[in-house]
Amino acid sequence: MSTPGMMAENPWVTPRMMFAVALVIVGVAVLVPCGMLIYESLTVVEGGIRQATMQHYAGIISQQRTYELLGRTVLFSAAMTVFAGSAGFLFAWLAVRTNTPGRRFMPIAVLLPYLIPPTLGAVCWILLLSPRNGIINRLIEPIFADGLFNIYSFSGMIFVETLYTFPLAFIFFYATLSSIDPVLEEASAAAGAGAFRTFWKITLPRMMPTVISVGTILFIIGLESFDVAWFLGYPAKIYILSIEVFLLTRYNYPSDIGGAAVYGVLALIAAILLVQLYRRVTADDRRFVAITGKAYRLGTLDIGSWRWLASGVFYAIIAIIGVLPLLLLGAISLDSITWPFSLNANLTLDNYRWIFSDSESRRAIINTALIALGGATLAVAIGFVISYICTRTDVKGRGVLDYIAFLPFAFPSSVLAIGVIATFIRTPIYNTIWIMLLAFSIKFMPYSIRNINNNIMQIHRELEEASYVAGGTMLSTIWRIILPLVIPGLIAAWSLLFIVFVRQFSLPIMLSSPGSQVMTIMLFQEWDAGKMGHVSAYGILMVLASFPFMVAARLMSRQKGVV
Amino acid sequence: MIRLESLDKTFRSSDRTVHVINNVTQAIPDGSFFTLLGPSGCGKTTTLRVIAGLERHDSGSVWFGDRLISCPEKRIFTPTSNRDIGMVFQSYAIWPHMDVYHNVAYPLTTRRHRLSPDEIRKRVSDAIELVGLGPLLRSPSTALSGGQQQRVALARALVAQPQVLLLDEPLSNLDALLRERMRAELMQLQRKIRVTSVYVTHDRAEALSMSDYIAVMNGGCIEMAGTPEEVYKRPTTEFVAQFLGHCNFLPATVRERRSAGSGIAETPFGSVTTDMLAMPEVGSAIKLLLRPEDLVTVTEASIPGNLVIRAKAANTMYFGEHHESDAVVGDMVLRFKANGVPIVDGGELNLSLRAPRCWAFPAEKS
Repeated sequence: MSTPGMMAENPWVTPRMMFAVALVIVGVAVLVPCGMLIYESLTVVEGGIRQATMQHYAGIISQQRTYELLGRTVLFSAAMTVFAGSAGFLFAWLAVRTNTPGRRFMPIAVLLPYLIPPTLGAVCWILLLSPRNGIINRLIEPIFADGLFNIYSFSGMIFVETLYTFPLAFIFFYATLSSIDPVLEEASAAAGAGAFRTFWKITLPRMMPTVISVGTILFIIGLESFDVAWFLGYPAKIYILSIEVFLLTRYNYPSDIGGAAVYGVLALIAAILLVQLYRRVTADDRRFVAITGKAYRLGTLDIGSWRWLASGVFYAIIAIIGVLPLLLLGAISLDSITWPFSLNANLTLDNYRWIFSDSESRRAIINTALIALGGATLAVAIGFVISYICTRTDVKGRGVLDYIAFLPFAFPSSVLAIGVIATFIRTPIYNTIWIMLLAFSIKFMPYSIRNINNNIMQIHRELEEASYVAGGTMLSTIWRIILPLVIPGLIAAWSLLFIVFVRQFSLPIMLSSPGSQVMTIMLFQEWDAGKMGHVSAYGILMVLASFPFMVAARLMSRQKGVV
Repeated sequence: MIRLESLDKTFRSSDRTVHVINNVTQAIPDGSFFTLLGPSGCGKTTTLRVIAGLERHDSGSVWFGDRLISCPEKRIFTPTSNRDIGMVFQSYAIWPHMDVYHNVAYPLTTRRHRLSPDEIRKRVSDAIELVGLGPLLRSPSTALSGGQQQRVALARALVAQPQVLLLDEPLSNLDALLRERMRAELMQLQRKIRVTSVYVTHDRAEALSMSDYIAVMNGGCIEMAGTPEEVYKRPTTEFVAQFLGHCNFLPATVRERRSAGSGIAETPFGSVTTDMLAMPEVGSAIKLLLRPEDLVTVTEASIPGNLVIRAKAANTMYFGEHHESDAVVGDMVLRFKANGVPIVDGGELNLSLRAPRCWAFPAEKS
């Protein structure tokens, strides 16, 4: 049932007015950059005059390289989706439904690798597996002379991307599985089916909509993957779309914005299709699985001695992707391991001293803090307004608002950045940290909206109606009832955005300029310069800065595991 | 007096259209306890929410006294917050971030009222006293039991002394014992302050025991409105009869017409005086409404009047204060209530009517 405009007695603050303001904001933030992207792809500047042209499309379409690039991009995303998705689903099922030891700690343990930015993940795996200097390759050198593993490869990219997407897949599936009544599985058990038969015949078919929606999310994450592809693929000249867009706009000389925009338009079309798929599936999802707020019992299925294997593999993965990088980075940052690989007994804090004393580095740390704090606040504020309009009013056109606001979710960051650059190039915020703050907020607005939606929808509608009955207006009801009830959820959403913003690499690499460096860019510069100690110190600093916010998000989110 | 005139509302979704309120016209007298009774999906809650302004209707009008509150044809719609109402929700809707005091004080702190802090404090403690929650004034609302939340909701609905009190199945979330106690308390409270109350329920016992008037709804329409006794004893439609309790229908024909609404009916087991909405011609087929408690077992020696049913008992069920059994005669089954008399399944028994008159409907034409 819809809630009518029952609160509209203040002529200025009506749902319709809120809607209009939100639509303008979202329009400027999302539609204008999209429009500019298309505009760039269809025009060319010749002799200072802009002219319409199809030459960019013709250029891109005629090259065989384009199809290899697109094919590689899709294959990369698909492979990662399949590997991370099935591992995530399997372990979430083991954690929620079976008697695997340590299952209660799994959703907490999985947050550790989640804290480690993909950039650092890539760096760590290079340190471990680079063909010449990788620690593991060095250790097995006596047996395999020329380096058994080469991380600078397509399979290396997929491997690392999978490892660092796995926690996300696990978290998504865990959240859904733990909110589904296990009674159907119990009925299957009562009918005499074993644990694996029940999984195959009951759980999996029933979870299909969730599987598809999470699969879509993972695929989108793969498509816009930048960090791993940059650190591992670029050195070996294995490009995917997001990298190609970056190279065309920021790296190659002369830059080819038009060509990049064509890739951007392709990505835009893919984004719209994927968002369409995702929304259709999630709409079905609600009908298909009865998700309630109740907490159900965990671990009812006995999987025999398999459970030890399950637990062992899970925690081994966590150790490899979560603990190992932290130990490695920690050791390098304290100079107890120096590069190329050798051990050193004397610990120093020189690297930390450097990152806090070098003026460019200090600037970058302050910029990162400003962008993360400001951007998270902006994204949560806009997210709250849009979420409120879409879940609690019946303004006509709110579906359109929701749809537009959700689009950036599927844009590769580098593509979004082209649109943002084209939109703001003539404004004073171009080449400042503010354009980054804005781009961060736009890119992650959908995460904020979805997160806040979950929180608002958990507030029983009658709590709000009781306020109107008592004479409250819309604004006073939002202020006195809704906000106090969703504040924990807003803090959780804010904290998660803060973490994501600190680690953001693909937007800054497109948008930053010498005065507006951020930590991830500094990290990359130091990496390029071979200063592993500085890189590791940045890495440890990012993880440490994120940690309290992860704790806050965890404590504040009522629906555990919605990240 | 609340007046609903030709109220209409339709829900449209892509795959179906539901006429939730179908031409409802009803007057609710000042100070009365008025119940909307019906099965789920009959439109009772929607009607209540239309009165509250939480839902919009498509046409018709809602009046509070001589004030037109809502009328889509005239583009009049008073927002909920400007209607002088109090409401108790099914979920109680107690705000979890406020204590009892602030929950109850809320209606006095909205723009509708401009009261001094002292006045607010006094009114809140009066309201909390009224529902018997005095000692819990400063308790966090999350620490309250279901019954206590119910009382807080009631105090909050009444604290601003509204013109109208709306109650949406307020007792349905309580356990059976507490429900009965709250039923009595709620009724006494309403009789004391005499606020015009509209109560929505699907529970016939609640409706019958608490109300001054009951409107029985079905498929978006009010099938019948009247006092509890009228709707129970003289239902105008078979739906109303069946919704208010188990019905046995005994086929009969009209033997004699005494007035427009009464006469003598002839049944296979004898004749009986009967009332009807409209007594048809002599010889017409009708069916008598016999509730389980209308039938009594009699001994061979003491057969009264002129109607006796000789039957076999079956399917006896024990309910604590009484038994209920089926009396089987040929292919006819009559459910009856046996007070104190031991019934043995398969045993022979004689049934007669407790009262000298009964109520009847015309038989369906077939």
